[in-house]
Amino acid sequence: MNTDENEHDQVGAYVLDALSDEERLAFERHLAGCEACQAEVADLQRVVDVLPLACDAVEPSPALRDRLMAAIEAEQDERAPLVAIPGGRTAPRGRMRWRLPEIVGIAAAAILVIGLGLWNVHLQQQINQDRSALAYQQQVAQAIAAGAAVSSIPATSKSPGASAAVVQPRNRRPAYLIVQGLKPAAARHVYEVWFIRGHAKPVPVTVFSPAGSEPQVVPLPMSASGYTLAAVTVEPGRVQAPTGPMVLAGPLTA
Amino acid sequence: MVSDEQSDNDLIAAIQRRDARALEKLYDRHRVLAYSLALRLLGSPGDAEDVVQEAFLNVWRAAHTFRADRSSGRSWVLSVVHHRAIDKLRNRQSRPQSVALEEGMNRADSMDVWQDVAARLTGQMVRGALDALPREQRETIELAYFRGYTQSQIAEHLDIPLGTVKGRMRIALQKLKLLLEGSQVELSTE
Repeated sequence: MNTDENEHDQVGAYVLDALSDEERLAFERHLAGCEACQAEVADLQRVVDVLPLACDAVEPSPALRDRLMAAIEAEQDERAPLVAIPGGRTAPRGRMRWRLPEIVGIAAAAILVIGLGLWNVHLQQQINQDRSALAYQQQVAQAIAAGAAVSSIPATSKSPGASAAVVQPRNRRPAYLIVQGLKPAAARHVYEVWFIRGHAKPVPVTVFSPAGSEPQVVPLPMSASGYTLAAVTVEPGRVQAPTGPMVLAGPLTA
Repeated sequence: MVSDEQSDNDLIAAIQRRDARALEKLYDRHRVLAYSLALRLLGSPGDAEDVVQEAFLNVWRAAHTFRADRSSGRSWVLSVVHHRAIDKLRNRQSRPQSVALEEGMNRADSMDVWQDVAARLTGQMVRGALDALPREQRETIELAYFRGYTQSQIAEHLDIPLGTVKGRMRIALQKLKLLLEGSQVELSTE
């Protein structure tokens, strides 16, 4: 057991990050009331602060910067008002308002906020240019308003910054995948969606290519009902069993 | 507005106001040191990049906790990187060997030339000061700071009493301070 007296000896280990979590908490309690230790920590911390300079300088890959800023942007979007609900609310950062069909009420908008945090009003501009995307958007909105199950499908380490959700309408109708942040696949490669039930072989669902950086609705030809997992892999064209790296994967909500 | 003249503290203040460009600028300024530190600790470029990304996300989320009166912006960022790297190291089943820096890694080549020269000179002085420590003190710093050992693990690894480890770390840092002050390495905060 540490007494206050021997807590003084922890100063060096504290500034070097060499205390266990328990030891660190105990020392910080002591530190709060010990001026001598506070002064020594401040003094030695200045030495520790220059230790990173002893490392040989190595440049990280340029992709790291892109991933970091994509993650920051995603966090900003999650915290911003998500969609303009009927009656019209100003979209964040001065962008155009997105008027969902009247059928989408406040409850549906709330579900969107909770379930599809990344699906924001950026979609407006894309939708204006793409009527089929708008049609899918309306279908998804209607499905959610009617009680569809929404499952978040997070990115794996192969695709940091990406995110997705599967929207499963009621009555076992075909599902939708909403995806954002996937980079274009390599030449002659596509993203393939899989549904998985327990330990059975993954079932190929469809293939798609990302349509820019904005959220994208991918209509799926089958229902996700009865499946427990959804995943997306990179494949050299449509294949019957996954071979490429998995970029998105997550459990499906019943 | 974010400009080249802004200090780290200015950038962190802007990050507190949710200015993503300030975070980007802070990252650009310290990415090489942050990544080099993470790589030295973790040995794996992939893990090092994960840690740097997590650390800057932490900076973004917790900018309001930064205390300019207690440390410089650079020190704060690097301490976040170090904490994250240590957490990752301690969660590993086994430790990697020390990083061999010659093994196919790209040395930084896009830093501003003067900044690069200054950093390299300072780095040489810090390495020189570390080399000037008695071997057992240098070894203790290496195991603790660059390899993520706790003081108890160091005692076990070197088969010496815990009290000796504590004493060596303190004395080593005090001696380093004197050596660095003698070599004109800037120890004060920005």
